Amino acid sequence: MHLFVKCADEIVRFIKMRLILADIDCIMSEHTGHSDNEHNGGGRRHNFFLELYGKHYKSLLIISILLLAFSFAVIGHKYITTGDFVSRGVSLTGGLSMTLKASNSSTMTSDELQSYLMQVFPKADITVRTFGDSSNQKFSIEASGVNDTVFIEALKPKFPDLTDADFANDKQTIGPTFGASFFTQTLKAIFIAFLFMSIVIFLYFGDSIRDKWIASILTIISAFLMFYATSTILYIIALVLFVVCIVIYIRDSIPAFGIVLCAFSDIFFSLAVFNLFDYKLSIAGVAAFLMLVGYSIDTDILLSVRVLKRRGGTIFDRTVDALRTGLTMSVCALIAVLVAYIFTHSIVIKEIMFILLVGLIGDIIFTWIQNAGILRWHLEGKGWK
Amino acid sequence: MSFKKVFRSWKIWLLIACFIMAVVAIWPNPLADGVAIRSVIKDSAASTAGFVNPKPTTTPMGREVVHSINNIPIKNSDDYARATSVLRPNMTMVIKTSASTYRLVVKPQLETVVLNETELVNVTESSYNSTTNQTINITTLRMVNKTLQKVTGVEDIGLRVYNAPTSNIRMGLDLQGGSRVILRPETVLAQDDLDSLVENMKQRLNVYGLSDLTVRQTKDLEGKDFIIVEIAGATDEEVKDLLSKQGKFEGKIGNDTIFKGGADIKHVCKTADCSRIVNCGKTSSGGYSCTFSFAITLSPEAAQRQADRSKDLSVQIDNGEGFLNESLDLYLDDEKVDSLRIGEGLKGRAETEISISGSGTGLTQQEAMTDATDNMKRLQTILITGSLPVKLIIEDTNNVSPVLGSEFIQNTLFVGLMAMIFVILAIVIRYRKIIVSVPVAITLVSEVVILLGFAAIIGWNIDLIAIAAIIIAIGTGVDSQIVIIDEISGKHQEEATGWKDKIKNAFFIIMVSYFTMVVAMLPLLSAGAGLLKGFAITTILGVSIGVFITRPAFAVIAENLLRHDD
Repeated sequence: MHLFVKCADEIVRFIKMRLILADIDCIMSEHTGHSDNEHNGGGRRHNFFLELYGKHYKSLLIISILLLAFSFAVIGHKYITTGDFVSRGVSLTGGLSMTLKASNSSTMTSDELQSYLMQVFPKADITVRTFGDSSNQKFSIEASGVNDTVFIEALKPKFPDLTDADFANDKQTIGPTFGASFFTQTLKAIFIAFLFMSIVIFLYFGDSIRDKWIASILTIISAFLMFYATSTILYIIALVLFVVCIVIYIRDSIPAFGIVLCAFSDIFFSLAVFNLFDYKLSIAGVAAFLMLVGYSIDTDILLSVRVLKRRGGTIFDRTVDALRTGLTMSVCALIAVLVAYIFTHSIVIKEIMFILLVGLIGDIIFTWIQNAGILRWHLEGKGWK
Repeated sequence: MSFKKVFRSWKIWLLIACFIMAVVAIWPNPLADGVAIRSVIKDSAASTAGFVNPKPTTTPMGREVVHSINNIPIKNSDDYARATSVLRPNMTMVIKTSASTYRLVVKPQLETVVLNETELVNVTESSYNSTTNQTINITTLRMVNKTLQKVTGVEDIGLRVYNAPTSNIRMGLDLQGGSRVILRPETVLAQDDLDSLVENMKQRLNVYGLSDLTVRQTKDLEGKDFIIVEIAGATDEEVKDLLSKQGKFEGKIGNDTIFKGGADIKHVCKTADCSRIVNCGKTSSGGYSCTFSFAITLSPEAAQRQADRSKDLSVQIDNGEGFLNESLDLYLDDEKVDSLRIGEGLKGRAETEISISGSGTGLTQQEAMTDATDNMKRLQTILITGSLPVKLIIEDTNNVSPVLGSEFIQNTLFVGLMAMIFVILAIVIRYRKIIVSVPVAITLVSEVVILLGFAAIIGWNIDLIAIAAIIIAIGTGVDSQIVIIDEISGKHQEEATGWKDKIKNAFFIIMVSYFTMVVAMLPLLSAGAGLLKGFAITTILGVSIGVFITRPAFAVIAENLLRHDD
């Protein structure tokens, strides 16, 4: 948790920076002689943050890499202790899932309900969560390894207000093999999505035609293998091919690699925070991670295009210029997601929005610190200013 | 801001055209009231009165809507429930719908009580003569038990209804309520067999009385075949009961099969005169049990098989009546469910009328009657449609009540609206110009409307996850617009790039993002039995509409709006 607090600190610091940097207008317009400045004061404060961002970008880059390493650590810890790198809800393991309205007269908490159920069904895996506002509180119950009817009977005394029909209101049962196979398939889907996304980026930003051909062919083979593979050997080959592609990207086009790394970091960061909050992943959650792949790319592409294809000012100037646009984009997406997260009554939408919220916040760091840092380091190494 | 220039661009007209098409496709009518007919139960009072099942291809706004019963206006399903709760047998109801006016006579629910007295009655039986190949009717005088028909209430008039839809947007089950069951055939089938399995399942569900349903095949990434059944307004229990059993029904004498459900059965009686609850009584455990019985007509071939098999059997006398020494055993899914004694008069005679009976139980007599009626309906269905070629395993069931569904809809609309408002607010704060928010708002709203219009046209179901995709599209659709705005009003004096170049730059960024998004969604189209297919398609459609229709138009507006700033 200590490390977690450190990260939260980072996040808060950067949000503060964004607010300050909104006045970058001022500074930029001073550089280029434009007349749109309504903010003249606080020059010294601005300069401090700008200096930090500009001069010490390498240290900031290290911090973002540390953040990525921390995410790996959290996920690795989870894997070592539970054998799975994320907790899975019943839609991915098989079992029963239902949503029940809380009884008006009782003040039962989700923990109380969970311990009661675990007493009655000691061998089952049961999770209870509450959501909704005080007037419309609901319990979301997931249980695997129980018999449907027996479970519902056990619930009845705790929900005296509900009729039999109410128990069937929002109920889902998933066969265990179905749930498990769904999980492996969505993992494959995420891998393939990643493969395709990387090759598209490389095709746009790469230089050597030969490398593009090689990478494309490798990608297609890897995708096929992953799609149809049933034995472990084929999985490993698919992974190896992907790693080879990454090496090609690094050798040929660091910018492309930077973008792919950022998407990768976003997903892992979001997954790590998901694990820290001890949530269980469902089918909807998987969809959210895939959305993250697509949306995180937006800001990276913006950064890379602005830095690589523009000519005026220093690399840093162009980065900050892209930052203005990019932060607006991220903030808008964040607002939409935050609003949905707060106001929705559906636990499905809440889960999706949580993953996106964390992912988008992580994206701000991984795009503007990590990706920007990598780009600048690489370009300065090539002699750019 | 030069309006003329804006309207001269084809991109703007494309946007307007698509928008209008979408609105027409959606055909919103938030003031629509009444209850729409989801299905009509066979042989019910409603079907006798002339109500027909809506075709599954009818658009939601094209469904028949009930507006009044006996001149009492019906605004929603509560009104309908109230109006149909005070029925008396044989009363007439005048039901006015959007299509026409119907007169419906309420049928009484009957219970036949078998008395201990007997009476002489003329009984007509049809018998098949194999030598002359003719079916002749023989009327004989017989001693049968006296029966008394008691009226125990009213039969359901046979209309399943739901609140009239307010637009053509088809909603997924988690928004309108209903159930979805995913089944897997136990053995791997060839494509032809799969097709006929799906047909058989549809038929079974239809005959049972459920018609607002879709049955479709899908494969997952591992190549396994699944069948997804989605029924609005039904519970998963009904579907599970109907489909989880193969429904292999056989009548055997000894080890020889005389007839099987399906082809060998020409007619199953479902009308009240030959299918009904026979009587009810208390069971030893304190509950109630009711027996039902209905008549079926065998095909001539099956009847002949019975004649051939029984002609060599010997007669036993039991209580003054003669019976053959072997009975006609009825098996359902290889379990014996009944055993009919064959009267001596049937020895060697091809008898086509057979009576099938069974029972239902419950804690109260009413419960037992309902259970018996359900069991009877199910058995009738199985006998009519025959058995499913293979056993189906239930992999996943999902049940959402309609009340919960409509709650979700309202909440989701609210959330979507809030998201849009706050995002537009953020844009205004960022650019400190209210005028910028106008094209952004127009673009956002059009994207959502056109997407929903597409969904309405192709009959696509919008479910909760798809809505999540739409909400996020609101947040990120704005992204591209921000890119465009910033490119256009960008303060890059060093570059003497023209407007075309700036917009080209912006679109370069947008196109790369677009392709990566589409490509990221592709694997989802077939992963996990296509459960996330709706989400993937909504996202792909959404970004495509954005890239090809709304954002070019937005660029035109923004160009004209912000140009004079430089």
